[in-house]
Order: sequence, then C-alpha cells, then structure tokens
Amino acid sequence: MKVIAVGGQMLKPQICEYIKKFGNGEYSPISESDFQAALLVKNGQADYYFGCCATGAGGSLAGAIAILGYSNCASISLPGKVPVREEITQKLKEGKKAFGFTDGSAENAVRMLIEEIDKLGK
Amino acid sequence: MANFSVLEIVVIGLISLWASVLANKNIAVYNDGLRPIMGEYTSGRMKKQEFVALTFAMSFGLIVGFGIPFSLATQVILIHTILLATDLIGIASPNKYVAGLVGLLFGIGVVVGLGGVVTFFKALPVNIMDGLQMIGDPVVVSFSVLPALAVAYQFGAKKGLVTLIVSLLARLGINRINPITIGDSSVDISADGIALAVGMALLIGFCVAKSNKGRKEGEQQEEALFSDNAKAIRRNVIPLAIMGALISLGASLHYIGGSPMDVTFLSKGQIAEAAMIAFIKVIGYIPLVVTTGLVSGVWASGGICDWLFGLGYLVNPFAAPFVGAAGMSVEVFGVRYLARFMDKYPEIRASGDYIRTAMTQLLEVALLVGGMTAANAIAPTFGFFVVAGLYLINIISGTKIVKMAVGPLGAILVGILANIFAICHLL
Repeated sequence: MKVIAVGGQMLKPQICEYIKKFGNGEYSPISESDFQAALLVKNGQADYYFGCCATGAGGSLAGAIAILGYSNCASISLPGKVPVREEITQKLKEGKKAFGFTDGSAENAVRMLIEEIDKLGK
Repeated sequence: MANFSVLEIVVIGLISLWASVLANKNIAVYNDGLRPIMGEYTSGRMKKQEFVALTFAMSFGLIVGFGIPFSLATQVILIHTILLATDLIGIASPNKYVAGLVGLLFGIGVVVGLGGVVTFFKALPVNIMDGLQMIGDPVVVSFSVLPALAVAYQFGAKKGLVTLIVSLLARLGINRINPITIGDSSVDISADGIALAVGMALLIGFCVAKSNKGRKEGEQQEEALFSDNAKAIRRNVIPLAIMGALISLGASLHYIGGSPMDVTFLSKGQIAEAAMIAFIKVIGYIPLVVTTGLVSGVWASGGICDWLFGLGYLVNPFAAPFVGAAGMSVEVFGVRYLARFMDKYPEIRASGDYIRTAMTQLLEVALLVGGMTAANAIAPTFGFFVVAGLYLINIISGTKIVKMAVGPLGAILVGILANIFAICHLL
C-alpha cells in the first residue's frame, strides 16, 4: 500500500477520488493542509505528495518546497503545458517526492503519476 | 476615435513600470507559482536563465489564454494581462532601470493595443462587441451560489444544499422588502449581494464551529518557521505601499479588475457587486499568498487578491491611492497575524482552498454558457458549433487552455470567423 499526501490547494476531494480510482486499492490518499501534507512525506508517513492549483507550481507546491526543498519537488504541468509521461518517469527516477499540477490536467496527471510510480516499483 | 484616454495610458504605464521594478528587485511577483521558487533563484541555486524560462512557461499561457480574452470581452483590463508580464520583464531585466523602462512601454502597449483591437472589432461588418458583452451575463446571476458550493465541498452536500436554500430565501426576501425608503431617497439592496453575504456567514459559521471542536495541539507554527522572511517583506513596506496605491487608483478609475468576475461587473456598471466579489476572494487567497510569501520573503504585487481592487472600486480616484497604500501596508504588517489566525482556525484555511476550487468551477460553467450565448448571438448559424467543439477538443487534448477561458476565446474566434465569412459572402 502506498500513501499519497494530498496538499495544496485546489480540487483536493477530486484528487483523492482519482488516487483511489487509478490506484486500484493499492494507494491511499490523505488530504491535509499543504504544510501538514509535506511533513507526512518528510516523516516517512506518506510516500509522495500531490498538489494542484491554477499554475501547477504555487499553491500546489509552496508548502512542499518549504518543507522538502525544491530539489524534491517538480511541476508536471503548467498553464499551456500538459503532463508528459517521459518527464514524470525521469523525475521519479531522480527521486522527487512532491508533484504539482494544474487543475485542468489533474485527472491525467494523477493517472500518469500512479502508473509510473507502479512501474518504478516493479 | 481612440477608446482610451491619456490618463489611462499614464496609470497603466505606471502600474506596469513599478511592478516590473518590484519583480526585478525580488520584492514582489504576481504569479503565485513563482513565489515559492524565488528562494532557489535569490540564493543562486537556480540560474537566471533557467528561472526566466520557467517564468515564461508559467505566465505566457495565462496572459494569452486568460488575461487578454477577458480584457477584450469586457474592455476592462484583467490585471493578469499586466502583472504576469511584469513578472517576466522584471526577472529577465539586468537591472531596475531596464525593467522599469520595458515595463512602462509594455503597459502603454497593452492600453493602445487593446484599444486598437476594440476599435477594429467595432469597425467590422458583423458587430462583435455587443455579442461579447453577453459573455458575462451568466456570471452575474450565478456568482452568489459560490458559498453554497464551498460549504458542500467542505462540510458535505447536505449542508451545501441548506446554504443554497437559505441564500435563495434571503434573495427572495430582500426583493420583497426592496426598495427601502430612507427620508426622501429610496435604494434597492442588491439581491445577489445579500444572497452572497448570507452564504458566506453560514460558511464562516460552520468553519468556526468545526475549528473549535477539533482543535489539534502542536500544529505547525508557520509564522515561527519563517520569521526572517516576514521581516524581509516588512522591510519593503514603502515600495509595496506604492504598488498598492497604484493598484487601487487603477481600480478606482475602472481601468483594471482583479478577476474575470470583477471585470464583468465593472463592464456592466455593477460596482458594488464587483467590490463584494473582490473582498470574498480574499478568503480564497489568504492561505495561498501568506504561505508563498512566508516561504519566500517575496510579496504579491497585487496584494492578497483582490481586496485592494475592491477598495479602489468603492472610493474616488483621489482617495484611492491613500486607501490602497494603507491596505497594502496592513497586509505587510499583518502577515504574521494572518498566519497565526490560520493556525488557530485550520477550517478557515481549508475554506480558502475550497472557495478557489468552487470559484473556478463556477466560472467554468458560467463562462462556457456565456461564451456559447455570445457566439450564437454573433453567428446564429455556427456559434454554438464552434464553441462547443473547441471546449471539448481542449479537454481531449489535455486542457492546454484554462477551461474557463475557452468560452470567451471561442466567442472572439466566432466573431472573427463571422466577419471573414461575411467579407467572402459565405454567410
């Protein structure tokens, strides 16, 4: 079972639903404030941090950047840029733990992230 | 006839100039996405070139796909058009003088350019501007549902429905009482305003009740973690206050608005409603701006959106700069108290997230309907067809354009197509 901390800032209930839907029972989401969610990852209580906002970087990752450091964070979509599978694979391999994306791409972003995290485990 | 004044050029030019300087000096940026990364840049861990590229990636799509369509449709400049660009200008410029000059030229360019496009649209054989005015109509009537949506997200659909019904009753009730006669004058109290106020009161009531019940001890003290950054923001109070003064001045003259809702209301002359929505948006943005500000030591060039605009809408242009400067100073000195307040009432912090989600979704629906209605008014033969098609193709392609902007953009595109067809005698 992998635990995903859902932090800042938009669509949190939907993102938790997407994690359950695409995770096939193997992923459990925890919805928290952005700082609390990032702390869960830092303390090892969650495997990854997902966050969503209008820019994919601000509200999504502010707390995570502060707690986990920028080097552990990545925006996988921005306004005008959709998530790209190869980039997600690359960032997961680099060991990044916190991922931000835009509200428009949330469903796709969560689906790709979970699929790629799965592949990484195998 | 040009549809802008010298005063507008001066005010927008100054806003753009000063915001570029603030971005160049790492004092304030508008894009909330940039702020958390500013620390990487100012500490030298991220190269300037990389940061400029990131700023461009983060801002360009929103300027073209969000700022400009709303500014064109309402003829009030949506502030994103200016301040997202000044982030880029300031960050890319080698020093504050270049930043200021390029910023000034950009601001003038926006006023003249948008004015030119509007003049051009008005001169076309098929009238576009009247149609574009209709885009905001659904927003006007539906925005007071916002608190009910936020309540539904945060406290469940049942409480959301209760809030919806109570707001509706408040709305019907006030219409029965209207107009209210005081002495010789009679006034109509805005039904939308009352519905919104009642809904917000319920939302805040639910929050306080739940926060008091479930108080957690040992919560992360955000403010204590970042007191150096709070100090850095306070040191810049004077340049920030000047920015606040300019923002409120521009808002007071109705040249700029803070959100698609504000500019829609301003374009229809509903100033009180514009101000009300600007004040409510504050709750949605306090967590975002305070958190990103404390993490980075960099403040927001528009302040905590959009109360500085709201203050401006309500006062005359002579008072506006003073009110705006005071408002921005209150923010700068109030950061730590706001952070403490959010620690104390985590539910209100969570509300901010839900209000933003609800506001975005509401605008997506209202502006799609508005965009389709406008497109149909401009071109009854193919207006619906084009906008519906674009909206869904955008989603299928991974939502490259912000969803809420597709309606307005589609309507503008339909207007242009209608004119091309008319000129070619295809219509």
